[in-house]
Amino acid sequence: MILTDVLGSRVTSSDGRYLGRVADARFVLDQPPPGQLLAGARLLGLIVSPHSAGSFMGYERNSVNRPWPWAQLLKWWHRGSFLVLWEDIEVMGPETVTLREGFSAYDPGLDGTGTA
Amino acid sequence: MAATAVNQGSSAVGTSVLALDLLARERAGTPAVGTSLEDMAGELEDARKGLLDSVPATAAERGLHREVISALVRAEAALGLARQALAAKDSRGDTADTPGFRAAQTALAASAKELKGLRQRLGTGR
Amino acid sequence: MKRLLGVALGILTAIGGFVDIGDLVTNAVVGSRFGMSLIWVVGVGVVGICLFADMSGRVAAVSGRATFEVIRERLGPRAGLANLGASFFINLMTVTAEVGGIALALQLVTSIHYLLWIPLAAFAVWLVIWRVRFKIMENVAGLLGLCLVVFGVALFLLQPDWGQLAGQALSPAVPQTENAAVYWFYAVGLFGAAMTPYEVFFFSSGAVEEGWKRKDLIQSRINVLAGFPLGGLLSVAIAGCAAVVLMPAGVEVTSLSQIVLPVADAGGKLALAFALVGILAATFGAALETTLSSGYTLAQFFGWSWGKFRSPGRAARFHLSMIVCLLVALGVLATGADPILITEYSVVFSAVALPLTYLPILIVANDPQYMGSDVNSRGINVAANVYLLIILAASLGAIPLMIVTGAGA
Repeated sequence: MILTDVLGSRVTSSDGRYLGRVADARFVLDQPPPGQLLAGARLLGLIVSPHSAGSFMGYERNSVNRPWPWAQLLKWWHRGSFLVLWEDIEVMGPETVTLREGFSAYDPGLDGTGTA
Repeated sequence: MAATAVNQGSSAVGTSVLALDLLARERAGTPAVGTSLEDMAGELEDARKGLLDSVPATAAERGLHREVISALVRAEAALGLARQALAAKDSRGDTADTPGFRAAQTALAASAKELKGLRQRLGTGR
Repeated sequence: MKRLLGVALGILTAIGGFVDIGDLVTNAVVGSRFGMSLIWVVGVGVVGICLFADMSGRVAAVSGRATFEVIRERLGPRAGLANLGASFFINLMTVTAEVGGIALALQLVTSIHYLLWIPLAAFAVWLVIWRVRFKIMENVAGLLGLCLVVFGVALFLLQPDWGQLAGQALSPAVPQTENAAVYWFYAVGLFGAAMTPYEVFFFSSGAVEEGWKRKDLIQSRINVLAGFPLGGLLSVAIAGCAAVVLMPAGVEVTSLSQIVLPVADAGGKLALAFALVGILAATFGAALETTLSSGYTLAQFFGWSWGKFRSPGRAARFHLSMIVCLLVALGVLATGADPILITEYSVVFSAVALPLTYLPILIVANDPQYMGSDVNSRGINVAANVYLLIILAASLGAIPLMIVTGAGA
């Protein structure tokens, strides 16, 4: 399975309730394992957005809120979206992603000053 | 439809008149004028063929079509004269002041007048 | 002194480089059919292209990312690919139109049919892209393009009724021989011609090619803010010549040969020669820019190494894709499709595709993570938002207007 297959998939809870679509995947870079030079990117979880499977266009970062009104519009588009961790995913099917019972929904925003 | 063809024809003949005039006044050389005339011959042919492709609905329309087509045919003939005169100029080094040239200018002017009259009668069809 | 020369050269090439086959044809058509009554659109378009070029140039200089690298990052692979497809298709159409324009200009010089010139024109474009350095290529084409100033001179020599021209320009109205839908269709076309997307792909990629840094921003801004409006004036002069000579004669421009007649009328053979050199340089320069743009967009999207600053062997896919584009253009033109018609469609579709590249650039130009302190100022954002609305209106209106008017027939 490649990432393109997952993006845009329907996301349901374990009892079949529709939660949204996969809008993005979030990766973290770990320390390289002993004896290796490069850190692998590890899938932390998926971003589920109830209203749109489109790109966040960079507005997943909390500090970016320009230009008015497009930033606000895009944020509104993705209102109610949340991050679910990899551990909370029960079935990563070809068309739908099912979450475990009692999964936790995290804030999808990225903090930081936003400067390089 | 007839109005569009008249518009197109009138524009092509107007261009040809202007181009020949520039040649006669030595303001443009044969390559540019020749290209203009060639392009305009294509335009006239387009206009005539476009009209031939459309089917007139009423008898009045049919009469109008026939009138416009014969005007376009006359314009094509006038343009043909102009292109011949230009070719003669090119090959023999004639000046623009030959009988053939003047005949072409007269024929084009007559065509321009005819098409202008039709254009005023029919409008631009837009 | 050297710096001053650099600034002057930059402005001059920006003027000469502004006009391409789209501007030539659309302005002449509009002038011959609507007089000066659509000239306001050139003004709107010029301000828009200044704004767009300023933002994309700034993004390229500060973040080192050209337009399609930004689009790929922001839109993600799927929407990005759709965007690439549309932009690339329109760019290819523009390449075709420009190569056809070179051939038509050569026909005007030699009276040899333009179809015979097309292979040579395409080959020459490829050769220059392959061999000639970026800076030289830009400057030579831009400076020779300045010969188009002869359209402005011609307009003065024609001694038009300035009051009447100004009246048409300042209180625009639809002429009696045209209807409102056609008027607005050509308004969109003129806007698309002035704001062709390739100019921005090329501008931002050129910034990377020439290795712009933050400190070069002032010069680039001067080039844009002085060069593009003066280039816009050239467009206005082209329309003006058509309005003064062709419109009263009932001539509606459908070919390149008609566009130069007013210049010959005003200034004779010498002026005509200048106009032809200018048109040749403008179309050739634009053919180079659009061909490079097709390579840039593909390479930037797919992450291939690109740029003329690399030897062709080190950017093989970039160069190969440009060869393929030129061959496609050649193939389309070989069918006998009228380059002028292709041009008219290309400017309208340019307007359709404009928001696809404009919005991502606007967003990234506001992103502090890329831009640091060089994010859009408040004033620029207000203007950019106004333009986004204009661009959206033109984009959404273009296709319905094209259908209703039969492409302005």
